[in-house]
Amino acid sequence: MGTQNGLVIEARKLTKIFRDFWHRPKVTAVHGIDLEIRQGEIFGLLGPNGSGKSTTLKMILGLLHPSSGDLTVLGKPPHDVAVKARMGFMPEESYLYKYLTAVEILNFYANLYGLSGSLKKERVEGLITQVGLTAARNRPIGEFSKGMARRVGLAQCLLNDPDLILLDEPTSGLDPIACREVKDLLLGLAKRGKTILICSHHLADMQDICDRVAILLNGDICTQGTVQDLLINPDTLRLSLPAPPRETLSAILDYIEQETGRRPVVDHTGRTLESVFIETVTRHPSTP
Amino acid sequence: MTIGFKQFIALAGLALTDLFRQPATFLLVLTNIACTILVPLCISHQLGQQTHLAVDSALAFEFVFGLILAGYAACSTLHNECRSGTILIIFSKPVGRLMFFLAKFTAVALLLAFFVYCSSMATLLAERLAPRNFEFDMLGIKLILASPFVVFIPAGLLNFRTHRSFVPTSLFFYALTLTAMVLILSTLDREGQRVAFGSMVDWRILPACLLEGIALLLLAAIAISLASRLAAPATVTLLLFLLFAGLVSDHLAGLLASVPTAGFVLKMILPDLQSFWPADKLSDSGALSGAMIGHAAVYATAYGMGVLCLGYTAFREKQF
Repeated sequence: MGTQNGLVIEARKLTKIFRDFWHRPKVTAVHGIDLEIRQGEIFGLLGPNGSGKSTTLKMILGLLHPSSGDLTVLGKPPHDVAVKARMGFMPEESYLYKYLTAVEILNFYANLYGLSGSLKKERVEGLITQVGLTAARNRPIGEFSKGMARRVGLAQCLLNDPDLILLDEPTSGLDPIACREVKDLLLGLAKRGKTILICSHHLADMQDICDRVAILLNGDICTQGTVQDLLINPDTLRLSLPAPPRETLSAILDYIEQETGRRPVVDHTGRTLESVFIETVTRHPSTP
Repeated sequence: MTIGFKQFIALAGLALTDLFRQPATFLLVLTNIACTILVPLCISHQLGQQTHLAVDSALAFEFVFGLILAGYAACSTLHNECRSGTILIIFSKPVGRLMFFLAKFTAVALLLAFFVYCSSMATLLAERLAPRNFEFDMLGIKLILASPFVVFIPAGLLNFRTHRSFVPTSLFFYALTLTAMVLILSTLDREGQRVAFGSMVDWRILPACLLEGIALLLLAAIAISLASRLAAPATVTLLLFLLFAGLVSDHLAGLLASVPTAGFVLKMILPDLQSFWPADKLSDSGALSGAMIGHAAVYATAYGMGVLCLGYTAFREKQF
């Protein structure tokens, strides 16, 4: 499924310089980055607007030619058609034909992968159900909300059961429940050995699902590593315990302050707004 | 069926479906039909040239509306896909750029073939409807007036009952209705009496429309090549310029007679559209020969292939 060294994407000194009409350098979008993404990994590419995330993604897709450096995807150059047969891509915007229905679009993309007959029908129907578009399957995409169009975008990305999945802002425009479903779907795919590269501004989503992340700034990778390594603060611990009586708590805090020289911070552990939302909506009587 | 051929069919088929569902296509095709059919009813002077005027006007409408449709369709299917980003998804699939480019051209060419068919039927009707001896063909007029009801009501009902898209259904129903009207009027004279099939129809119009159709395919090749880089307004403007320059290319070359090389280069660059203007050849009971159409087809194929090669070169280097 992957390559001999287990690297699905390997970039060395990857650079992209956009030039003007006279071929003079206009902007250096990506500046000599090194990137290694392994099979079965969920890798997050983070960064502010204009940091080079989309340019990097487009080079991996073979839509932009690198100005210098080496880039291999699934062991081959990214523009190789054989590589694209093993790749799925969901762009940031839902670039779809607005006069076509969800089923027509998916059938069309399935044809581009050479799927036919029962396999095509099975994949299209399965994905329509999986992304929750059964009721809207025959409506033109132009009538879809942004979230529904994103679901079609995700379905087309998974049509060929790809080994490498590239996602640009996959949860953008989705409601929290759909967002959770997408994240669960991606985690499930990674468990099946699929490699996933995600570009996103939704840091909480990235924290939830990514194994490793890289932060891009002005075309350079500022930092990269596992999410756990980046988030952990080895000098600080969080201890959750049932709320003790005030006197006991005060005694505990005094003791810790005496031992460490610093007064601990005490707060209540809370749930995330996402968990409150999902619980409220799923328990509501009107929810099917 | 190989995967490559299947991909080509899928790309061309989807582009054609998308083009047929666009309201602009609907409006351009129907406006051409309406202008073609209504002009003979509006001719105010009676100099014995009514049928000649009706056919000339119809052929001119076909050229101009066909050109606008070629420019619009090429930009809608290629430039707009590049601009909107749909192409990002297509090229993330195992699809080559040459196949994509040729599939888009094929879709535009098929749309134009449909347009030329409708226009041919409308031109046959226009010739029949032109007043003769100060008298209109009332039977033909009644059929024309009934046609919107025959087309739009069933298309609307189908849309209501089955959610079938209204725009392409109406277009196909209009093509069928025009064909039926031509067949009916081919068997009846102006008083509604049965006559030998086709005796009341000027069939010389069909090869004339075919010749214009070949010219429109040549213009479609130019349009799709321009659309790889330019938006619709610029593409249609350049096409209009090429249409007028192509129609007077001999005259322009003559102006440069003192500089033979410049005249030769100009003749090579500009499409020789004079060879595709059939109205003059139809006057005075003339007809278009098979050799004439064959010669025009060979020229259009050679010129079109050259233009497509240039267009593909520009498209191949494009970065998204």
